[in-house]
Amino acid sequence: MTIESYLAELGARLPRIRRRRVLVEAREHLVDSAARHSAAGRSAQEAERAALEDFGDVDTVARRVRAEVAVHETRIASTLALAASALFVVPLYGVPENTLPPAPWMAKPVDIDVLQTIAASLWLTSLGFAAVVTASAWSRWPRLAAAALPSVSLGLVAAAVTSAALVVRWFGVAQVTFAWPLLAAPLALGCVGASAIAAAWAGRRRELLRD
Amino acid sequence: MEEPKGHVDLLLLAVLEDGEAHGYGLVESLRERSGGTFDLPEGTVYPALYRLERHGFAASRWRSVGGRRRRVYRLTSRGRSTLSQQRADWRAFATAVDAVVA
Repeated sequence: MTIESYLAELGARLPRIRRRRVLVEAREHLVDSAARHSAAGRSAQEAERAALEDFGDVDTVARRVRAEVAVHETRIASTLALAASALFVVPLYGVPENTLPPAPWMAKPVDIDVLQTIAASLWLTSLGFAAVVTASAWSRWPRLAAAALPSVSLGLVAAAVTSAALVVRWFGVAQVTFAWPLLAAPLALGCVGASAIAAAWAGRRRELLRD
Repeated sequence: MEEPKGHVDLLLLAVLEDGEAHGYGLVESLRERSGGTFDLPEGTVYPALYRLERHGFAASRWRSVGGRRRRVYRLTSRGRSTLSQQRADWRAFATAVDAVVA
């Protein structure tokens, strides 16, 4: 194997985030190392082979770089999930507050009140959990964060389902407006989708992480 | 404060104390200072350096050396104080082991 073929194989196994930097550093390292072996009296081919041997096999180096990059990826994924949880306030509160006509009732129906409380509680729990998970990812427990991220998604899904039930119930007793669900549904789905993608991304890196 | 993982990180911090260096330079220093004892797979030094950077113990930048683009690493003040603490811990540990084994 030559330095170039080693680098090609290594590059194919590295995550895109650090690939370029690792390859530049590895190339410079291998060139220096081969030069040292040449200076010690080895042929160019032998020097290159010895440099590659000293550097370590592709699998070991790639695995360790991937493990280090996985920490970054988990941090990004956790931050994305936190942002998605925070933005969920727009479809949950911002949109209905600005699109629904004034309430037609003197006293709010109990079931609507209950649904609103449940949806808000689920969202706040999910947001709080996302904040804890993100703090874990940015401190010493990225593996724990990767494991806990699906719970953030599940919390948002539960809040979204409860909100959908609330919409149905609301339109049973109040004037139907289409602006609310048409605006809120894509935003809510976007937030849920983003948190699910973040959870899946971090989940796939979990095995590479060490606490 | 975050602690460096394992002896490789501690060794790298100790070598970086001598001044700015690129990856190959660090490996060479490590080999020389240990009399060839620390002959680890050289490619694994880079993930360890990235980890030190992530914890704020080391910082790096690109530098052009003799027409070649090199990534050079240096110890940060946080890395220096961590090294100092880790060194004290290591000496206490080594003294204790020596007292039992010798």
